[in-house]
Order: sequence, then C-alpha cells, then structure tokens
Amino acid sequence: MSGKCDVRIVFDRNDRTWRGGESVSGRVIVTVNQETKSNGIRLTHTWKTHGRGNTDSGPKETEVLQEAGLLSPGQNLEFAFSFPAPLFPVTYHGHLIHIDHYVSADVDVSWARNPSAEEDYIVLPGLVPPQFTGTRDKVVSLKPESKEDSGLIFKAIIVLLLGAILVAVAMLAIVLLPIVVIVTVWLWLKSQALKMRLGQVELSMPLKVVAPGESWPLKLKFTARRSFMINSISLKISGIESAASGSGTNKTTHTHQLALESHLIREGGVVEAGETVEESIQVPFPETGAYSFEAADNSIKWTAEVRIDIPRFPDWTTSETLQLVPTEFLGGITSAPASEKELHSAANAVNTDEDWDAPEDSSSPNTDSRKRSTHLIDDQPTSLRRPQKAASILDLVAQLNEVSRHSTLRTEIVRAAAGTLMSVSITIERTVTTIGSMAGDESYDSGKTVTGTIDGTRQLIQVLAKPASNPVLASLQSGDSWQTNITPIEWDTLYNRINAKEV
Amino acid sequence: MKPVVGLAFAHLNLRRNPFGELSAQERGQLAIVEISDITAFLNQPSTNHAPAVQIVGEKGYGKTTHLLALQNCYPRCTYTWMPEGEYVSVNTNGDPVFVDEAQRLSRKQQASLWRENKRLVLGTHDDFSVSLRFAGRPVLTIEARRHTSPAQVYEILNERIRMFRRSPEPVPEVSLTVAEQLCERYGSDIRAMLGCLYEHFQSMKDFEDVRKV
Repeated sequence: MSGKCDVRIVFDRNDRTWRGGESVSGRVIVTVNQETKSNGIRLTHTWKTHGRGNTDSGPKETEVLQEAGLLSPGQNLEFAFSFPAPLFPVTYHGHLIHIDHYVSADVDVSWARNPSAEEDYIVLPGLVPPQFTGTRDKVVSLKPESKEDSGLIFKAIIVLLLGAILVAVAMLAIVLLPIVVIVTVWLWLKSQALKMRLGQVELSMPLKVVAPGESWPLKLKFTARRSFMINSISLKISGIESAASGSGTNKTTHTHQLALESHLIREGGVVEAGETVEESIQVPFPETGAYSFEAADNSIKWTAEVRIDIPRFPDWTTSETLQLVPTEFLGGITSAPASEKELHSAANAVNTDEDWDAPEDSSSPNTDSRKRSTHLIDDQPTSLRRPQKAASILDLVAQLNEVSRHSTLRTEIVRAAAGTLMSVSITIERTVTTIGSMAGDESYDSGKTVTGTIDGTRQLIQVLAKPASNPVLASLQSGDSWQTNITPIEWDTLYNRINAKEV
Repeated sequence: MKPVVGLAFAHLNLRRNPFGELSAQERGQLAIVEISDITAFLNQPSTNHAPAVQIVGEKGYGKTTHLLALQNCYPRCTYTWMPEGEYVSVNTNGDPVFVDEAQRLSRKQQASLWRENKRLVLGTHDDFSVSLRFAGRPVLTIEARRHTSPAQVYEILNERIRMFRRSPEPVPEVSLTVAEQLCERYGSDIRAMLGCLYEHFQSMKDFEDVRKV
C-alpha cells in the first residue's frame, strides 16, 4: 500500500503480445487507500523509444475510464479496456534503440503526484499500415500525418521563414563562392573522368522496399569507352542504428552497425574498350527485426552501396536508401516497378535480350509485362487456399498458372514443392558463373547459373547447376536444350520465375 | 539481431536498460544528490538581495542533475536552458529562477538577471561568484563533482537500476568494486560511467550482479 491509491494494469494475455490491428485488452485495477478527490481516471497508450538516445514517442491516445468523483478508502475499482494494437512501429529491441508500446493509467489528483502505473506490451507485425500502398520501388513514408490543418497564417509564416533562410543562404554563398566553385569543379571533373571510362552506368535496384530474408536483386550495366582495370565491382548492404542524446552542443550521436554485408558482383580484371559489362546479382537480405525507423532522435537506416573500384582512379559509387519492412507489410504494395517509365528504363538499361522483361506471364501470353505496375498483389488469405505439393515440374507450372501472376500464392506453391526431385528440360537463354548462391550451399559457388524456359511451357526458370555440370553447359549455347534433375527453391516475384537448384 | 520475442530486459527483471538516456522527469526523480545545504541557503530569511547558487562543473559531472533535484523542491520555479549560439530570454516569472548552461548568458542578460530580486540557481561551466557578489547577492558555489566518490557513485548507479525494476524480485547490483573501478577510469565523469554500464547491460544475457566492467 502506498499513497492515496494503488493502480495496477493487468493484460488479458500472459505473454502481452499482440499483432498490429488486434485488440489489446486488459483491466485497470485501482485500490483506494485514502479518501481521494479524483479529477478522473485515465488510460493512455503510446509507443516510446528508450536506449542510448533521447526518447521519441508517438501520439498519446487517451481514454477516460471514470469521470471526476470522490474515491473512498477500501474501494476496489476495476475497468476493462480494449483498443486496437498500433500497426507501426512494431516492438524492437536493438542495441542503441528499443521501441516499446505502453499502456498507462493514472488517477488525476489535484496538488499531488498522480497515482499511476505503466506497463509495456509487445506489438508484432500484423495488418498492413494504410500508408503501404503503391509499389516497392519507392520508400514508403511511415510518419504520422498531421491531424490538424495548420491554416493559412501558419503556412504564410513558413513561407516567409523559408524566404529569409534562402536570402541568408544566398548571402553566405557569395562569401563561400570560391570554395563552392572549387568543389563543384572537382565533382564535375570526377564525374566526367568516370564517364570517359565507364560511359553511362545503368543501375537497377527495383526493390527499395524489402523484407528480411528476401532475395534482393540488382542489375548493373555499362559499356566501357576505354580499356581499364577494375579491382572489383561490389555491393555493400548496411544497416545502422543511430541515436542522438542531449541537445545543442551537448548533442552526441551514437551509431551501431547492425549489419554490413559485402557481395562481390564482379571480380577484378581488364575491361576492354567497347565491352559491355552486364552483371546481375540476387542477394539474401539479412534476417532481422530491425525494420527501418525514422524519428527525431532515433533511426534505423538500411542502405545499399554499389562500388566500381578502379585502381589509381576515383571509384564510381552510388548509394540508395532501402526500407526494410516486415514481410506482412508487403501484402499492401505491388512487387513490380511502379511506372512505365521506370520499367522501360530498367528494361533498356539492363538488358536487351529481354531477360529483364522476361517475366511475361505464361498463363496469359499476350499480357504486356509493363502493365505490371497496375496490378496489386492478391490479398486473398493464403491460409484459405493452401497449395498442394506439386509432383512434377509440369504439375508445378500448371499450379502456378492457375493463380494470378501477382498472387502471393505463387510463392507458397513453389515453397510447397521445395525439396521435391523433378526432372526438367530447359531451353537455355543464358549461362553465367554463379556468384552468391541463393541455395545457401557453397558447393554451387563455382558452378553455373542457367536461365531459360521450361520446355513445353512459357515458364521461366533459373537453375543453380553443380560444378560437375560445367563441361556439359560449356558445350551448350543459347537455344539449346538441357536436361537435368532439379528441386525448386523459391518463387522469384521480380522475374516471375522459378528459382531451383540442380540435384 | 533476431526479431523480438519478449519484453525488454525481462531477463534482468528490468523494464529497460537503466543506463540509457533518461527524460528530464526521470532524471529529476533519480537525482541522488545532497541538496539540503543548497535548500537551506536558498531558504534563508530574506535579505536585501536574494541568494544565488551556482553549480559549477564540466560536461557530464552532474550540474543538470543538481538542478533537476532542486527543481523537485521548488514547484514555483522556472527553468531555462540556454542553447549554444542562440538568444533565449530567461524566464524570470518563477522563484527561484533556474538557468542551465548559464555561461552562455550574454553580459547584458547577466547584468539584468543579477539585478532581479529573485533567488537564482545557475548551472555553469564558469564561476560567476565575483559578479554576483558585486551585485550584492549572497553566493553559494557548489562543485558538481562533489558526488563522485565511489560510495556515492555506487548509490547513484544502483538507485538507477532499482528505478526500472519490473517486479519485486531482485535486480542486478553494481558492486562497490565496480564503482571504484569506474571512478578510477572516468574520474568525475558520470556520463562516461553510464555509457560504459549501458554497453555492459546490453550484453548481459543472464541475470547476474555486475562484478567487473
């Protein structure tokens, strides 16, 4: 017993775990120890960060459990509560940053500290936040929208302030002009020097929104204008927690590397003038619960950096921010590039042999693949339509053709067939050396990756061949038929093809 | 980092890492500093000139902790934090008037504030005793680092852990030996000690007392 009242919060679930959109429920129990004039008993729920940085928090949702009144000693009050679990952010316990959801209850007492209690609960990914619409080639803003219209006066003040800042910057720019000119000239010279060697580098990262463990594709193409050496072409995927503590000059920003994965896209060697370097890679994104997060003092950022390392010369680099989201959230957005322009540029940029455009649906041969942007992923609950395990490759293709080309069911169908031995005949489109095997098996690393069409169908397939098949594959050309035994690994949503490995 | 499966720091019977950044309110609740001498000085019978207290010390030595602890004793006070390179007017509506980072006050602001007949509590890197006395104020100067003996550090650290206790069950304890080690390593820099213990608590997988860092 302490103070005027004791307040307790008891959740209906012992593990205090809910998925976004589920109903968080429990009871607030108030035991009155002394006569108390209450101005009301309130329940509040919100999310907050804790850890190395200043606390960021979400909007507070408050509910009045009891109006003002006199509380008598010995009274035991119990209030049931229920509210929908927030959809985002989900609970996260990292190194510098922790994100937790809290329910608090307090008795509002005048001229004294309010008797209160606060308890944390866990939110796992559930329903898709409403912001998650559109396509996966753009980062989705998850910042809460402003509830109130700020009005014309406020907007006018903002415009005036921006104008003043612009004038100040312009005045400063005059003073700093020589430095600005030098830096600009240096950057221009660097870009021109790179252009003289590499020409126009076309890079395609079609999935800016990515889920943990997902196969993440990247394509790079350039035609060398001169002969030169490269040390390597590499991809670096990096996740960083960043937390700022203090403020003003006392502000300190702490960072923690969550993941840093380097992938070799192409080994070093000479690139001859006129040679077209065209590389594609699919890398498994790290399995993590560190979803992208952005708040005033705490953030979790994921980036992909591609580097063409040229000896004794400036490197060509580019970096893109990626948004890591729970797999559950991908149900709300399309997997294909958004705009026709984007798709067109990707197709032109990356491949001329229609490898990029290849995901033409086998079930609807006349479908223009550029129309993908208008389709939304089938949100039909997969649990209602659990796929049967396919016994043969033709059986598998038939199952795939039965569902919408953008359906998440295709992933499940191929997953269900994983591990099944299947005999297949493939018309080869191209054969390349395997880099970073998606089979997670190093024994495929020195083998070849064969991309082609399953004979008798229009279904695309990519097979990781064993090194033992290298001599056979070396003797085959594009258009030849290759027979082998495979087992499916996964459905590639980007290329609409089956990924498999030779067994 | 695997996806979350449990409540934060439940394995240590804590609600969070106790050595992370605290809100001003939490810092005020946790401020374990001896302030009776300061309150006695501030509450002395009124004279012609209101008394002034200055808490002097480097960054991380506990100036703000002193101010927050004192703030709890004076519900009618006003608190102004002076940012770097920005003009902020001091709120003198309350009594006492608290000014954190007072070394950033302009000379004009100092002169005007010293003349106010309000009790003053300053957190500062610079010593203002001469100018305050010149303005006629009785002055008490407190070294912020006075609370960094190993025994006091031991108390401060364990109180912080206890504040985030999840249930009445025991919580990990920082030993006096560790407090001594920290004082030897970081001197009076409490903030550096907290940073070191934050990392230690992040790495604690099982319930145990902190016997070395």
